[in-house]
Amino acid sequence: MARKYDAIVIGGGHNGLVHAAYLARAGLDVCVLEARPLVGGATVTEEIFPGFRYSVFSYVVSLMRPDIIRELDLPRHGLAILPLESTLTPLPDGDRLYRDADHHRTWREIARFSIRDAEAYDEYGRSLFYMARAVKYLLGIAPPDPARLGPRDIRGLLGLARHFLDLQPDQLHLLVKLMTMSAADFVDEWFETDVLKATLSASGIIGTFLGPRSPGTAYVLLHHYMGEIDGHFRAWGFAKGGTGAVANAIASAARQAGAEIRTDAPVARALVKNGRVNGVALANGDELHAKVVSSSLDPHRTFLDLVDADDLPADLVNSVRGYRFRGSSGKVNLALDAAPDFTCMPGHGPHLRGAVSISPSIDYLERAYDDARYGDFSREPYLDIVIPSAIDPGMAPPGKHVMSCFVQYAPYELREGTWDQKREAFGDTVVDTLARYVPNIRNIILHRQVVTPLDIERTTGLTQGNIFQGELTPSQLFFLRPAAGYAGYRTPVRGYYQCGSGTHPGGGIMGAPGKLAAGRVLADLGRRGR
Amino acid sequence: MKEYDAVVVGGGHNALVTAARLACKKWKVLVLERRGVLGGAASTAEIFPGCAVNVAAQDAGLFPASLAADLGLAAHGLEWVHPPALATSLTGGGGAITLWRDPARTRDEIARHSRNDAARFAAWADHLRTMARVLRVALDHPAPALHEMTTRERLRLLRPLIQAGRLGKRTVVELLRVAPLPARDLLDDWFESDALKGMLASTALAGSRHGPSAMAGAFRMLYHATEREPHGFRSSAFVKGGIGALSTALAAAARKHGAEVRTRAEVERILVEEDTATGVALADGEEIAARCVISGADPRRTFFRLVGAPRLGPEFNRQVANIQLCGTTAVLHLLLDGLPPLPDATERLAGHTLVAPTLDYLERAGDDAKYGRASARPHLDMVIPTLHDPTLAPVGRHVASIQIRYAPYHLREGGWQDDGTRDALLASVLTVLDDFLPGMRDRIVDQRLLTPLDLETELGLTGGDECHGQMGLEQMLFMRPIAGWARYATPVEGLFLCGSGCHPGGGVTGGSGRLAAGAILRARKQVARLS
Repeated sequence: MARKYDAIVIGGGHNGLVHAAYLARAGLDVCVLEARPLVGGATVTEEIFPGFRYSVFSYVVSLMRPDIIRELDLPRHGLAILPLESTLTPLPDGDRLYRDADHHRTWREIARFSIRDAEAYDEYGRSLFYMARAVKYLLGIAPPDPARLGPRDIRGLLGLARHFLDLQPDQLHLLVKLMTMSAADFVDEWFETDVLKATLSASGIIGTFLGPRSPGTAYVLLHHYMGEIDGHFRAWGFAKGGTGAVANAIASAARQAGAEIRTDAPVARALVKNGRVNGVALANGDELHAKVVSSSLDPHRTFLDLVDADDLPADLVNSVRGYRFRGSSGKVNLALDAAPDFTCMPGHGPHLRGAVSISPSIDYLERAYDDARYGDFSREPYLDIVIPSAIDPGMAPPGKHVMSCFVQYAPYELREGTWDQKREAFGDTVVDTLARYVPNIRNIILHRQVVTPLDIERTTGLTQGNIFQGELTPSQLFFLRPAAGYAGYRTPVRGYYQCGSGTHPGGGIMGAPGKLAAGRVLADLGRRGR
Repeated sequence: MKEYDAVVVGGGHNALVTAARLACKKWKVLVLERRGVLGGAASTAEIFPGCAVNVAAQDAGLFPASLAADLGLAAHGLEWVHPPALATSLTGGGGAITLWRDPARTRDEIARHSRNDAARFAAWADHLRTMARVLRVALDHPAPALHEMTTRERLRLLRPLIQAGRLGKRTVVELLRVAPLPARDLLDDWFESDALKGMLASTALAGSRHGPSAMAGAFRMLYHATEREPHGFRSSAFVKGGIGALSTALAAAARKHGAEVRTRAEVERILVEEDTATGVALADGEEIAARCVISGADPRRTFFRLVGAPRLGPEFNRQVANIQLCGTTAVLHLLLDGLPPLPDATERLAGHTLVAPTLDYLERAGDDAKYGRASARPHLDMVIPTLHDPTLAPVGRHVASIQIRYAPYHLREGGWQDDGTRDALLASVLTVLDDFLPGMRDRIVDQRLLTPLDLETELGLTGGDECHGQMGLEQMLFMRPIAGWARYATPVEGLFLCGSGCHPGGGVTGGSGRLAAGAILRARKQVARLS
C-alpha cells in the first residue's frame, strides 16, 4: 500500500537528515529512507569489534555549521564536540613538529626549525582566518546562475560582487591566490620549514586526487579552515561517541520535528511522470508517494541511477557523466591493546588527544601522489591519525584504544588488480608506515579494519568512494556544482531536489547543502522555514 | 643633455611595440637594448656561422594581424609563413600524427589513430575556438583593477563584459568551468587516442612548470588558441627571415616615427629621485634623462636589479619575490646537413615537431622537474625554420631549434654551469631523438645548448622564465605581475612595465606592449590635465 508524504528524502547521511529536519520543522510530513540499518551514511560510528567503536569513514568534525547546530538544538540531542588539542608531525629521524593551543610552546617548537617561520605563523593564521571568514559568506547562500540571469540570479551575483569588493584589496588578492594556487606554493610564501609546510599543505590534499604542488589545492586547504567549534575558528573536534553521534543527534532532532526515518529501506528509483516526481520505489518494490523528493546521494546516483536519463536534458546528463569523483582515500581503523608509543614523543601526553599527521615533507606527499597518479596506492602514504579513545574513553574498553588512520592516496581505479585483492597489502603498507614512527604498533594491534575506496562505495554508496561526493576543484564548485545551470538544488524534474555534498558548498560534515536545499524546497512550496 | 619623453629599457618585442605606439603619438622615445640584436627572446642571431637562428621563441602565431597592420609592419619587411602542417607529433618507432591546416586532411590523419576522435575533432575545435574568443576579449582589454577604478574606468569595463556576453552567457560559464581544468581532464572528456591527446596537451605545458594533470592546463591551451586557427590548437605562424625579422620590423616602425633604437646599450640602473623615475644609467656610465622610464625587463629584474628593492617597501618586495618564475625550458639548436629520414619530411616537419607521445609520457617528464631534476625523457618541441625560409642557412644545411621541457632552472643537485649537467641533458635529448626520429642524430653537424641559466644570462630572463612569470591562474589578469599593480604603473612615479610579465602574459603576442602604451598615454594625459 502506498503511503503518501509531503516530502521524501533519499539517503540518511548527515545532509539528508539536516534537510529532513528543516522540512519537518516547517511542518511538512517527511520521510527519510536510508539503505543501511543505521543512519549517517559516511558519518557513522560502528562497533566492528566488540567494545571498540570506530568512526568508520569520517573521523573529525569542525565544518558543521554553527547555525544548524543552534537551530536544530543538536547539543540537546546528544551532540558534544571535544576539541582536538594538538597536531603532531613525527619525523623519520625521531624529531617532530608539535603544535597546540599553547601559543608560546608552539612558537618555540617552530622556532627550533626557523625563527622566521615562528614569527610568520601567527600572521599566516590570521590571514587564513580572514579568508575563511570572507568565504564563509558563500556557505550560507544558494549559488546564483550566471547563465540564466533571472532576477534572483542577478541579485545573487550583485550581492557576491558587493561582498567581495568590500574586502580589503590585499584580502581579495589573497583570496584569488587561494582559489588558484597549489597549497605548497601558497604556504611557501610564508614559510621555509619543510615539515611545517608539508603539514599545513596536507589539509589541501585531503579528499582530492591532487598533490600538494598541484594548483587548486590551496582552496581545499581553505575549505578545511572554515571549521568552527563554539566560535573558535579552525578548531577541529571530535564528536563524543564518534561521528555517528553527529548523525544521531540530527536524526533525533528530525524525529522530534515529526520526520519519519526508515532504515533498511534502499530506494531503487524516483518515480517520474510527465516531468514531475511523485514518489519513490523501494528496492523491495514498495512505492511511497510525495510531491517532493530530495536526493542526498551524489550527482551520479541522483541523476543517472535514480531517474531515467530520458527524463533529463542531455546537457545535464553529459555534465554529470563528466563530473569527477576520483576517490583517493581509504581508512585503516585499528583496535589497540595499549596506547601507541611515538618515538618522537614517548609515553602518554596531549599529543594523543590531537591529530597526528604523517607528512614529514612536501616531497613525501608529492611522491605519495605520484604513486596514485600511475594507478597504485602510495607506498608511503600520507596519514591523518586520531586516537578517539584518548579523547572519549567510551570508544574502547578501559585501557585499550582505537586509532583511526585516514590514508591517502588510495586511488579508486587501480592500474593492476582489484581492491579486493589488494586490501590487506594496503593495510600492511599503512601499518609499516606507522611502525616507522610508532615502534610498538605491531605488538598492540588487536584488530584491523581496512576500508578501501571500493569499500566506501559499496557500503555508503558514494560513487568511486569520494568522501566529498565529487572533487572540490574550481570546475566543480559554487554555480558549477554539480553542473552549470543545475546548481540551485532544483533539478529539471519538477519536485525532485538534490541536497547532498555534491551540491554547493560541498563535502565535509557541514550540513550546509542539506539546509540550503531545504530553503529552496520550502520557498518553492511557498512555505517559511522555522 | 637631451631629454626624452620615454626611455624604454630592453628591445624585446613588447618593448618595441610600446616604443612604436608612443612614437606614433609624437613621443620622443629611446629604446636601449643590451645585446647586439633586437628582439630579446624573439630574436634571430648567427649562432652557427652563416646561419640565422631563432634564439628562443620560434613562433609568432599569437601576434595579432591587426596590430601588425596598425604599425604597418608589412612595409618594414614583415612576411608571415603558414606551413601546411601545424604540428607533427612523433609517436615512436617512426610513427607520426600531423595536424594539417586543412581540416579534411587532419580528419583523415586522426582517423588512422581513432575513428571516434576524428569524428569529434571538428566539434572540439569549435568548442575551443568559441571559448578562446571569450578569453581573447579579457586578454585584449586592460585587466580590471578592481579597487581603484574610477567610474569612467568601470564603465569602460562594461565593454568587454558586453562583448563577452554577446558571445553567449553559456559560453562564458563554460569558459569558467573549463579554464581551471587540467589538460588531461579536458582531453579525456573528448578523445581516446593517446597520440592525439599528447599532442594537444603540449600547449598546456608551455609557461608552466606543471605536467598535464595540473589545474589550469586548459587555460593555457585556450591562451594559445585563437579563433583564426582552425583546430583550436596553438595559433602558429612563422616569420620570413626568422622571428627576429618581426622585431626589426617593429623597430623600423618605431624609428619611422622618430624613435631612437640603440643596441649594445646596457641599462644598469633606473634613476629614481624622490620616488620618481628620472632616467637611466648605462653600464658605461652614461646617464640619460627621461620624463618616464618603461621597462620591458621582467618585473623581478626591473624592481630588484634596476630600481633596487630598498626603494619599494617590504610588502611590495614580498610580492615581487613571490612571483612564480618557472624557467623549465632549455633550447637546443642543431645544425643539420639534411633532414631526418621521415616520409614527407619537408611537409610534415615544417610546423612544430613534437615528442609528446602520451599524456603519461608528459606526466613523467614533469615529475622529474617537480623534484628538481631535468627530465630523463623530456618533451620536445622542434621547429626547422629553414624549411620555410632556406635563406636562413647555407645551401644543403638546415637548422633545427628544439625546446626541451622540463629543464628546471633550480636543480636540486649540481647546477647548469656544470658541464656534466649540460651533457646529461644533451644525452637525454639525443636518446629521445633516436627513439622518435631515427636517423636525425646522423644529420647533426653542430649543436648549441642553451640551458635556463643561459637564457637568464644571455637574454636577461630571471629564472630562465621566457614568460616573465608563470602562466597560471594565480598570475593572470589583475594578479599579473602582482596583485594591485596590473595596470603597468609601478610604485615609482613615471616608471612603467611593458613586458610579458604583465597582463595578458607570455608568448610573442605584443599584448602587454600594446596595453602598456595605452596605459602610459592615459596616465600622462591625466598628469597633463592636473598640471
